[in-house]
Amino acid sequence: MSVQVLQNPLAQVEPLPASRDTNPLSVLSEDERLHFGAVHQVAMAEVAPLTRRMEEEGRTLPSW
Amino acid sequence: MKTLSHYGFFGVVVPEQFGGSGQNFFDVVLTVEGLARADAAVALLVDVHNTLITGAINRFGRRSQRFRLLPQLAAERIGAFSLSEAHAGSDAFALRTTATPVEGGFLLNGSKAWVSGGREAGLYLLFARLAAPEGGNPPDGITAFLVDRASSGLTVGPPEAKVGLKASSTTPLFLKDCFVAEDDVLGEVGKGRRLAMALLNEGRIGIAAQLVGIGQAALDLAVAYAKAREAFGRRIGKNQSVAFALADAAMQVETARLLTWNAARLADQGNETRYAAAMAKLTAQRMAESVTSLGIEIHGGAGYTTDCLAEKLWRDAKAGTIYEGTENMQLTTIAHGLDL
Ligand SMILES: Cc1cc2nc3c(=O)[nH]c(=O)nc-3n(C[C@H](O)[C@H](O)[C@H](O)COP(=O)(O)OP(=O)(O)OC[C@H]3O[C@@H](n4cnc5c(N)ncnc54)[C@H](O)[C@@H]3O)c2cc1C
Repeated sequence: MSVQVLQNPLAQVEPLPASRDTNPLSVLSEDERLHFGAVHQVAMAEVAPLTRRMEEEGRTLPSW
Repeated sequence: MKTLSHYGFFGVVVPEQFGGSGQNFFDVVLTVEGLARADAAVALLVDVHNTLITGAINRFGRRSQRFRLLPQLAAERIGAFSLSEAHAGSDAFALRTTATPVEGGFLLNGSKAWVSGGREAGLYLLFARLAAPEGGNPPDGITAFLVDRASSGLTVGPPEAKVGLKASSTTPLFLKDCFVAEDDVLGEVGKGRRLAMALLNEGRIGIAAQLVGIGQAALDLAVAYAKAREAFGRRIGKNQSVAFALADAAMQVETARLLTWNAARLADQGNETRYAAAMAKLTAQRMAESVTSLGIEIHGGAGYTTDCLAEKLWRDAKAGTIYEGTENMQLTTIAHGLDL
């Protein structure tokens, strides 16, 4: 199946490279899928509980 | 911060030789969406750091700046972006902070406003205007400076009491004869306007990703509630009007995501993204506002309490209608492309 990425009608868009133009826009490559999965897991397991607690206690992240 | 650094969220686009993971802008967009599903303030910090700071130094920085700053920024230092001033938000290039050339560098004077992560940051990408020569007219002269948090003459003001995005600060910065070395000019002296505009295109795509994450989180929460809550002897999601409202919300989230991903992929291929970024950001901000608001309604009275995550998502989403350009600013950009 060959599906073109949606093109912005206002921009001059070059065709996508071969590695992508067989993918519909909404399909992630294997690397992208793994990356998103890992981020999402950390976000839900570690970031969400921490920031929810901080919000309750009225604290912001420490300086760095 | 340690958790975020441990997982490499600060070095997504930093090349591997400097300790980052050398990924592309699309991966930043995925990172920001993933984090925003958990917390939009953290996603905002990570977004600004990757799109407007490390991305900027990578693209526009001199070799010496890349070698000096990128290893720190990939691991142990947060960057913040400081363009706006109290009187110059939408009209950002009306900024008044001045940069006066002196031996070896510049003295910065003025005040900046609304710096996301202002308190957490160790480095600011800050825009100032070259001071007028004595008796002469001020040149446009907007210049981008990499300003160390420890610079003398720089004071971080108190955080704004915001409606949402509570986990990170938004602060003013005050500059009084703050010395910045010539080496800390990003890009060319006097060419900061073009640099800011190029960065803000990617910045808008990053914010669109944050808003997609917020919208998806609100949708997930509302769907889960609609499956659990019973009224009139059946689950509320079994009512067609509730199901249709959620179906419409799912469509809005997906539309915003596709425009965002499309804009990010265009950026990675080196295409002009001004219009694609404006369309993605505006679609995402409208979506996030409407889907998070629906999320509260689906929860009924419970949704209007601070115990319910739905209200946090709603508060966090609202900022997306303001930063990186309001609705009118996105429409101005898109209309410009129509060449009316
Ligand atoms: C939480 C938060 C975080 C932020 N983070 C940052 C940051 O990290 N770095 C940074 O530099 N800035 C940041 N900002 C600033 C933000 O970009 C500005 O607030 C925004 O651009 C709007 O500017 P303003 O507040 O001056 O509003 P104004 O520009 O005064 O706009 C007020 C209203 O007038 C409308 N308007 C203005 N001019 C026009 C026009 N010509 N046509 C039609 N309508 C118009 C606007 O759409 C808006 O509705 C942040 C702001 C917030 C709230």
